[in-house]
Amino acid sequence: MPVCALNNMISVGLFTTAKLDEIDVISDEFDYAQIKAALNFGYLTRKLYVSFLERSGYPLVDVRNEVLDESFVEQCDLLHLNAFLYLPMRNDGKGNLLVAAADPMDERLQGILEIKFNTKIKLVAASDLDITWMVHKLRGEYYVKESVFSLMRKDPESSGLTTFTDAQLLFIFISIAFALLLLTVNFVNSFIFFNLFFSFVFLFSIVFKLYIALKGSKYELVEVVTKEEVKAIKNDTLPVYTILLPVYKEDKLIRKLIWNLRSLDYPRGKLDVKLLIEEDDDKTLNAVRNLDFPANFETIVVPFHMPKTKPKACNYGLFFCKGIYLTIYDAEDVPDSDQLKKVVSLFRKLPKDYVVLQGALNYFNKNENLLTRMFTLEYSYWFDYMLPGLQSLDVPIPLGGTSNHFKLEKLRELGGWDPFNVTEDADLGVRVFEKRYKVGVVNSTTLEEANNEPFNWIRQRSRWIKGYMQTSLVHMRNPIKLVNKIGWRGFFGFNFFVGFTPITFLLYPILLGFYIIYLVFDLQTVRILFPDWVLYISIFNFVAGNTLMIYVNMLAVFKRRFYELILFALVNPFYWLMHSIAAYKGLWQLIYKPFYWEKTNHGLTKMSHSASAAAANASANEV
Amino acid sequence: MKTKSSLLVLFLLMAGSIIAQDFKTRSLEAMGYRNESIMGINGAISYFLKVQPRDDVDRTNLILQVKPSQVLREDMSTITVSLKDEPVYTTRLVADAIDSVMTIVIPLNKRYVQEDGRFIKMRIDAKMAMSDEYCKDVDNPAIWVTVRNSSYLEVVKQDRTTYYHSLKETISEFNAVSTPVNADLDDLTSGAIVFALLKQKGGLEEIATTNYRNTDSSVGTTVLTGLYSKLPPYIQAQLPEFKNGQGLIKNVILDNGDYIFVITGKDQEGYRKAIYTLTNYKIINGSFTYTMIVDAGPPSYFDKNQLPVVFSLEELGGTPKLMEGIGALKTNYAFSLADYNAIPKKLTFHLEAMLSLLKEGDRGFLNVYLNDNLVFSTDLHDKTSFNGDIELKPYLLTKNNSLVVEMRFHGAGGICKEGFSNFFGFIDTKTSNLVFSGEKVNEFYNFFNYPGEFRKKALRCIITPTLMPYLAPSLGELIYQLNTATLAANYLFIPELVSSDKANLNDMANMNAIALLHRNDPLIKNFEKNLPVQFNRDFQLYKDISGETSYSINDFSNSGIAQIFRQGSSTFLLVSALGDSSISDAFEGVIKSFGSQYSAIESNVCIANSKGKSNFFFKLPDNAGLVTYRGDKNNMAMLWNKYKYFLLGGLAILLVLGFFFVRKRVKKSQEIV
Repeated sequence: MPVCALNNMISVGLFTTAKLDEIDVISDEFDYAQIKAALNFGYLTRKLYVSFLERSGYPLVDVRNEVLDESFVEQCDLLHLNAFLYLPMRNDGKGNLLVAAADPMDERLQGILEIKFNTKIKLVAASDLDITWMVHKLRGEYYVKESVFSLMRKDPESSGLTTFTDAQLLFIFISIAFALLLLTVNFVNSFIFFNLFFSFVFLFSIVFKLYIALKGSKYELVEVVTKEEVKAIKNDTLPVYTILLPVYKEDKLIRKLIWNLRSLDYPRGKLDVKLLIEEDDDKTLNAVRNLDFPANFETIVVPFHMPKTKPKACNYGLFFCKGIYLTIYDAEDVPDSDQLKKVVSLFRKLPKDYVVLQGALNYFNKNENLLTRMFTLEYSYWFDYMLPGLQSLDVPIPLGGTSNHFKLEKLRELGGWDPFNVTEDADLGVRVFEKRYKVGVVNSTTLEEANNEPFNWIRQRSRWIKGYMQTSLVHMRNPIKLVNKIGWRGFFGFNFFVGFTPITFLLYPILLGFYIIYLVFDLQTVRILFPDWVLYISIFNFVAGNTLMIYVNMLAVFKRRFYELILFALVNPFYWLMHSIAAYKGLWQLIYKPFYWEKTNHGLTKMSHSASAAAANASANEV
Repeated sequence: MKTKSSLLVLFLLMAGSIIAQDFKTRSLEAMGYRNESIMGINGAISYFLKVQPRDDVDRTNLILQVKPSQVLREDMSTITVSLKDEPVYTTRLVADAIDSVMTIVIPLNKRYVQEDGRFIKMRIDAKMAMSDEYCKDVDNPAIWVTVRNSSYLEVVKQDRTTYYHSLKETISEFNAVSTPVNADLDDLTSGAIVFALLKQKGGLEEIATTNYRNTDSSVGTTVLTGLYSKLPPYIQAQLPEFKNGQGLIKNVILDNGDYIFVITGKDQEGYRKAIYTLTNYKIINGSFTYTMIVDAGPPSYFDKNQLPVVFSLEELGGTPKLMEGIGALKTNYAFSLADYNAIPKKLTFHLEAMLSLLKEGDRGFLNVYLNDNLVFSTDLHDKTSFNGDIELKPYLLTKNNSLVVEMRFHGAGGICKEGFSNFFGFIDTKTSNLVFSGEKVNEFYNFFNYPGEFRKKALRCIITPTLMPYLAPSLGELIYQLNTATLAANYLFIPELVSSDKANLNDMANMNAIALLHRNDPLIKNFEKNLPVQFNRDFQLYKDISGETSYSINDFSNSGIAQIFRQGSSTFLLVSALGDSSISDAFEGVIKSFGSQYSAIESNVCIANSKGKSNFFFKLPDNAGLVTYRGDKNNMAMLWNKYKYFLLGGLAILLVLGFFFVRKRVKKSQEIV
């Protein structure tokens, strides 16, 4: 049996044979070096390992600052470098090729490299994270370019690289010009027409939402996967499950992340967890390095390439995934512990054309402040009522940002995520539908951290709304083609959910402004624009719209029994104003910085999620 | 045959006297009567024919024009005319053709004149049939006869010199008023008072108003008013000596046959005394020969004129009436809200009537209609009189109202011949009355408030100085309307006149005002906030719901506009002309229009043209947005109208630039590739 650092650690009592046996299984399954399996699957802390190496006469070299002869690196494949954690550096002048390795005692690796380079190899110790950082930086270019451009090459029509096509721009500007012309020719009547038109669009879009929510409410008590079914699953039949954790400067959340992953009820040897870190994100990298306990994820460093977006990172991560299924969580997410098993069970039950399952999202800090309460209401109706409603209507489902579980093979077939789209998940939902695959909804919740700070909230929301605009523009480049692909129902569903959402938010303050001017100032000139009948219709639409939205929000509390939030639904009209601010910011960015990823700061909450998570789980499980 | 011989008599009478004599016709219409019909197998109508002081009744003829139904049987249908309850003429009713009108000529006689010397009571009885079956004819609508209001008195006037009469009667002989071409407030007041007095005599003839210069050599037959110094010298020469501080009223007969009634004074003080004398009914109803020198004459201004709250039907112009026959016997009493000082909260009609006792089986009903709405109905069975109060719903009231009392009699079921057919009913117009109670709270001042509102407080009349020579008829019409027939008083009340350039709106705490202003009078600026229509700017009225003008009066020439509104604690009636031609006609037309508004709409703006023959009433509450102003409505609108296409052009350029800008940004964002 070839010697490696772990054997030596056993001999000095720092490791156990039993663990090594488990690691052997994992490294065989994943085709990883043993040390990689030990460090990334929760068997060994990096600090312990480093001190062992140093005590064993293997001081760590700083590979990030070593002189490198890149000709050696270029002979290596990134996947192999990443799996076995080594980096050829240079000839040491004594006929040896100096190779930095996470496990400098790995005789097998040494043998493989001597054959590969046909020279004597001298392994020197280096941090696995530094090696990972270096190999991705040096050899990741192909993969990162693939992750950026592969969709554009394979399916240019679905790529968001072009924000507006010339035809779309012409259409938009000609429409504006036409509206201005009408207003000039007959200001009052045109104004009344537009006012009523928008007011009806506003109402219709809300009535549609209510309809879907009511549809969805039928499934309120339906459990697609029961506890018994979950219990019945045997661990050894479970497939490898990939979890992507795209993070950027989330150093404070790494500890939480590990605990959250540990609470997942899934065999750890079958969890292929990828922490996707940007090349320039040393903060997170160092946080991982300095952990006092074993990490249960593999770190992937995404080389720098524009656009610096989450979907690009995920696409990059896809090259290294080993799972049959794949899901994405945010760093702060607390998924239900049995979520992955539920998904596996549901995928097994569902027809093959189901390629994505969306889990419900909710918040563990819902009672922190008004904003988190409103956010909770919104997510509750969206994930508990709208998504089941949309699924039942068989229209495209805009996926949520996390907790969407894919069949990895199909995800690759779809071309992964659009790196240019800042709501890549919503876009992917439509593309899934276009390819006549189906999206399902799984009865499992992931608790997230609700944004509790208004500016941070607006940043996050502006990105979402910008993404909806992008998605809408991408898929509406050729409306006829879209209808042919997804049918009229899908077309209307898509437009009402994705297209009209930003429009509604953009219109809301304008309509509100007019009413306020009319009601408060009672200007004679404004009165001309609001003859009584128009006023009545507009006010009806406005009031009915807001009331229905309040109602939909109120509806949301039932499934999760968040009855304490019910009165907060009344604040919805003000919450919408914040949406509008975000919508205008999003619109501005759509033109100025279409691919700019407006970063949401996580970890702002002062609430511990454990207590609320337990409470939420308890209440959800009761249903 | 009788008709023809009557005509011959008339011809001979006229031929004998027409050339030398001063004669006039005075129709029933001019006396305020409408075409009246007698319906059913018999019935009667009474008239009170006005007689004027200088009428030579003995030489006056009554020419009646009667149109009977074509189906009447000549041998069984007759008409009888009675004067002062004495039958004077009976003839058969004959209709030769569809439009045949029978003309009946009746010579009058002084003995038919009522004791007061002002009326001749005429009663027309008709008995009609179209079959032998009396009972078949009862209630047959084909049985009727109409007395046309084109019937007239052919009046021969007495020689002026031979007749003694009052000052008022003397004035009423005239039909023209002449004020100086440079009239001032006194001239205007004087002209207006004379106009109002002339108006009071009734009649349809237009009262001519002219302006004279002191260089004129002839002004025709007219009432001439003006300061002594303003009078033409040939008039001055006819006047007796009188002193400063004295007023003079003189009837001058010129050699050329012109009669001139002069109202003057040596100085302002004397002139005013003469003017104000004309407002004192006691004096002007007294005997007058040719000359009256006035040493004292206080004005009779409107000042809290408390009108009675009870008017008998007689005071409202009704006459005692005996209604005879069977079927529906109706009497119409007209009354105007102008008879009260305010719009009543409650109006009670107290009715006293007597009727023939009904036999068993006969049916009788008393119905009261207000403006064609049945407001009261009762069974008259077993009654010989009715005495009761009937409440008239205020919402049924319009400015001018008709109150109809109907007695309906039907003989015992089916047995017509044995029934007592000559039922009769009598309405006591002296004891029946309308009682006004409560005053409707005014939130929206409109023409229903006119003239009552302006009699409640002291009344000021503000006049643009340049209009003074032309406004005598308008002001006269106003004074006439404000002194309605029911205003039983000893004076002709007049407003206090002020020139607009000296008017002070701040001392009007206990006053209302009527302003007769030129549209460019600077005083109007003071009303801008409250005026329903800012008529000193071009405007359009009545927009539809889309905000577009749906009704617009564009031709304002000859149009007058009147608006009633509240400012401070005063109610204002602002009258003006919208054009610059025929200003006098425009003013008079609009005043006549709102003075006789028959519309049930509570309007606060009246626009009238063609001397009031065509008029529009508008209800324009504050900020209703029913008025738009052309031109300078507001700066924004003006800018918009003027520059909207430039603005559109600018926006189009911005759009094109925007298009290229966004396109450039899109391309730039793709440079990532």
